[in-house]
Amino acid sequence: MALDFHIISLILLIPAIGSVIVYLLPLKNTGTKIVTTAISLIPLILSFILLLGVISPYVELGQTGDFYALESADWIPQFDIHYTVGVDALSAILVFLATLLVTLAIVFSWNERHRHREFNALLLFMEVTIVGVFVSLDNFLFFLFWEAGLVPMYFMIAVWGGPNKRYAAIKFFLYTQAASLLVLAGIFAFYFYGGTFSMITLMETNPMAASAQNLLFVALLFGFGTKLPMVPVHTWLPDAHVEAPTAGSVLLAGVMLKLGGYGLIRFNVQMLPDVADWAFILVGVIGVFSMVYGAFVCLAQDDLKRMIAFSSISHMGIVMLGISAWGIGGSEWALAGAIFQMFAHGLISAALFMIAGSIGHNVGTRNISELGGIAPKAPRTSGFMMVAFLASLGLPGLVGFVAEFTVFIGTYEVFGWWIFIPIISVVVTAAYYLFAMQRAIFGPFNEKIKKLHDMKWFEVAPLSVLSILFAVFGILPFLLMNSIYNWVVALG
Amino acid sequence: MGFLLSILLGKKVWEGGAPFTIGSIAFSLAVSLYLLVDVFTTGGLGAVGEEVIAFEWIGGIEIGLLIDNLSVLLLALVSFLCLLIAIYSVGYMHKEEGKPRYYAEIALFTAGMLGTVSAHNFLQMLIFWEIMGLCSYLLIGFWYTKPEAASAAKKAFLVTRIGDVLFLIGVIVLFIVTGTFNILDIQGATLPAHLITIVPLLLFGGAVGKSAQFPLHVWLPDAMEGPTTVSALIHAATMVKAGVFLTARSFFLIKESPEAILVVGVIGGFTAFYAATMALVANDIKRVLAYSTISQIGYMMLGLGAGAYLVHQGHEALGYTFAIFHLMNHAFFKALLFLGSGSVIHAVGTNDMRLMGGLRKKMRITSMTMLIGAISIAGIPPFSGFWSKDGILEVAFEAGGTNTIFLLIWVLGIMTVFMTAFYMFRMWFMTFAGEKRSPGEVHESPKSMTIPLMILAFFALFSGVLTFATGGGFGQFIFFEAGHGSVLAELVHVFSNPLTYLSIGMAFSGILFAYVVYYRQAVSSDVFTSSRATKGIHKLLVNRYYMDYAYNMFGLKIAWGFAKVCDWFDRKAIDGFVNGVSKGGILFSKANDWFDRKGVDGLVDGVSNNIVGAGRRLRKSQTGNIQGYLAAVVLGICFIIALTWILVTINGG
Repeated sequence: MALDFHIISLILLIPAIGSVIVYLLPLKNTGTKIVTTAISLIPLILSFILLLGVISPYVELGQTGDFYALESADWIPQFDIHYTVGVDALSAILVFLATLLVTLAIVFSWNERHRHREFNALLLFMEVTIVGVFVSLDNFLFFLFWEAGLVPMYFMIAVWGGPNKRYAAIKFFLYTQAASLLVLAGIFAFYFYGGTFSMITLMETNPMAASAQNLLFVALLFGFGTKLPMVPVHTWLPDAHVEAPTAGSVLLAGVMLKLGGYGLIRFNVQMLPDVADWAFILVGVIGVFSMVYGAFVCLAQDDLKRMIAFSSISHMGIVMLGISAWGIGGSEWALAGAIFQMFAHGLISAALFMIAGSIGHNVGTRNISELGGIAPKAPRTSGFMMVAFLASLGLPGLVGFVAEFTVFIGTYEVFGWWIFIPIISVVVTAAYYLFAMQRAIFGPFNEKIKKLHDMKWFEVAPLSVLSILFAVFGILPFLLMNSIYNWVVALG
Repeated sequence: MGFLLSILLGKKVWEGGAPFTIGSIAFSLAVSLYLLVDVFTTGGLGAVGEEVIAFEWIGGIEIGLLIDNLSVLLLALVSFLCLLIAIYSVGYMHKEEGKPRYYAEIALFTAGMLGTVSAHNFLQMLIFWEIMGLCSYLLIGFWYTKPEAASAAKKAFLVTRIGDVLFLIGVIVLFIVTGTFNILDIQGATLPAHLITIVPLLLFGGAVGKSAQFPLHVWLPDAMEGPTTVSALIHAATMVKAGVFLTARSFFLIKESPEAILVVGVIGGFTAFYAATMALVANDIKRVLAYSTISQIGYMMLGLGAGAYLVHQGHEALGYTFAIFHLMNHAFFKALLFLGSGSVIHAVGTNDMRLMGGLRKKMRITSMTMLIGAISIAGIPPFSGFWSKDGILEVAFEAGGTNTIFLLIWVLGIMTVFMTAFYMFRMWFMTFAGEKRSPGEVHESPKSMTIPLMILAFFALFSGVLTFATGGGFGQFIFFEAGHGSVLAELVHVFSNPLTYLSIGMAFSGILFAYVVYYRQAVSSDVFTSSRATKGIHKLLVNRYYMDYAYNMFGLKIAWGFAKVCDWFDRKAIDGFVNGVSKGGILFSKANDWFDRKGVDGLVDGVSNNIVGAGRRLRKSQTGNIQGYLAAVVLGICFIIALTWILVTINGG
């Protein structure tokens, strides 16, 4: 089956138009939700086709070079800026993840009544910017989407956030803005060296002087690393998550953090092939530090959302470790694992934040010490919590394990017995999740809890989808892993 | 091939009740028995198994089954015990809520265990291994509203996780070195010299965690918070044996390294002794059995270690055979003892043996079957426990002939025989003999509970002898590399060896001692708890050598404290720095603002006006004025582009 239409442009355009429609249509909450969900399903289906086109030999999307479904048009020819979009295994998976999570986040926030039209329009707009980053193959376009993405998230936190929302929103904006400047510097450095904004050309020609590559690598590391986020430039994340509404947290953790990982792989790995080993060692050291440090900080948290936020930092450290092992020792497993981890963490962290948000909403508190013994009264909440926690701590058979395992294979292959340091985080991760579950949902019921109701259908449905996907990709990882692995091998 | 189906079948019984679980396990049993008979009668497979490849998992890693002597025995054993215990559960769990959850978890556990023992590669084994761990976690915490149960479940998962991580690393190292997870392929490969010791030890680390060996044994006694059926199935008969299975599977790696051999032997022998001492003083009937389980698994590890030592010395791998033999026998009699204790608990409503007593008359079947179990574990011929335990000790003694460390372990092992007999009969006398101390009427348990007891008692009696009846003796079925001698030679050998009589003597004196103290009460047990000489030891044993205490302290004080420090560091230091910078920015803006308004007008020209203006907008942004900030950003971007351009030109681009 050959598909010959502007599939990626449609994925970008439909939610963009949809966002305007949703904003303008004078509908009540439910009506808006139905329309928004319906609109978001279209890019989801399209991106699924896109994913199939990349991972399956039966769907043809028209391939040019390394990229599928490539579209290109002149945009600002004076500066050689083009509208170029296309996907490979790396971005197709992330585009699918983004469109999936947007749909789930829309459904999950079914009861968000405060300025509902703006809220839903914003979610769709966010989808455009995130997908835009993943599909852009022109640096200028990339940065445009990258910057534009900050705006909806800023408003998401500032308008629909918790009690300390202004502080969190400003912090988020300033932090990531500062990081964006480094990315911008990187993009112009590429332009001044290579005379082009085209990512494909840059990847193929490698125009940059080797001496400059190290400097640029570090700049981009901090630029993308802030988004990832890596320790020590991570402190915006816990605050943003704690204050953000659930749908915002889901997209923030599920896909926005992946922008950082994607940037690291697309730019640092693919466009700077001549960097010295020490640069990748730096990535590894920061990654491992994030893993272990993040895990320990989790252990001390009382707010579920804050704990999960730090677990994201810890788990995104695995991505950095994988990149590092690839960069130093060329371990294909490590980089494939890092990419798989982005996908796995996208699914898992989305579920985790949904659960934390739902507990906060349904019980009135997210603090573990104020919960206790809610399992018999809220079996659905507790059940999903258990599944998501177990997936996140890397239980074999669920999606997180595959990613961690493959990264650890690469880690031993390259770093040998240093593997014992990152592996500490595996034990600590199990500790904080199990400890949290023991205190929050098991044990005798905490009589101080006044109101408590279990999840409703619109909370159950997205979590069910995610839980099924944990198992599907945990038991059948080859569905994606084979394509990822081949992509990494082709990288050289 | 049909076996994969049964694994899947077992997994699908999520919502079903008991009949689904029992049905699917019975199906697994039928398939396993077919395989068992097929392998043992044709004998075509030998030590090297047959592989069934199902499908590719990820790039070159296959999922498949390895069917050999070891795996068919365990498949049959596991599915048989799972079936019996599932049937027993019908009576035992009758009044409990959440039965679907219980049976679903039992079914998933069965699938996990069967998957573990039939895996043809280490990765697959690890996956099923963790599924078992998950089920163990869920089932220990079955009564999750009890804080002790929730805490015990967490402890079990965490402590075994430490072992699992070592196992994981071991598997990864093997993969990197040999390029495969496949057990048979690894068997064909040779490890580089510097890994020859560490790799089997990493795998053994997983076994230590799962089989609750010293120093990762602390979770198993606490795991008794789960339903007794779970203790019987998972924490006595099957899952905790997975460690022994793993050690046996990696026997070919262990035997290559004298250091690894020694570690396995020493940990096994020491654990056997160490756990038995704690069983001496426990008053909770299930905890006695839990310590006993740890101790008996220690014997198996000792058997494997000593066997590996002898193989390393060029002898037959008898230790391997006896360890697996003991694994099988122990599965029967320990499941029997646990189910018996479950029957007692069901009747009396408490775990505390001090509140039992005199139950023999009311619970005839339970008391008789448990007596058989106790004799069997004590090691009195011809009960099954004797054959295997004696074999292990003999192998240890033989290894001790050339290695003093093994001789020392053998001494520990012989002392453990005495202790085992003592604590088992202490338990039996306290529970069934003497005066009735429990309140209320006591009845024998229903048939669904007593029939499995009787079946298990039959095996506890005869599983040792039966292997002789089938023709070749156990050694001809389960062996490493080559089978062992015939029945007659074996029997003659056993009874012509003076050591045999030593261990039987130790067992009898243990029973006698328990009889004197707890039945006749000729010597008061208070002597041991209050006399000056033994008071300290008693206290040490009751407090489990303070190891749990030490671990808790480590967890609470060190790990938790470190976490608190990290958290503080994160909030105050890193974030404090960030906030400080932004405060500094605000101050700077304010200063500029002041300078702008009150400063010397003439000195400030247009350019600086721009900068100050930007600064003022920056200040506004700090209080939420995003438009002002965006304007500053535009300026900033221009600046960055200019700076980059300068840098690049300097660099010679």
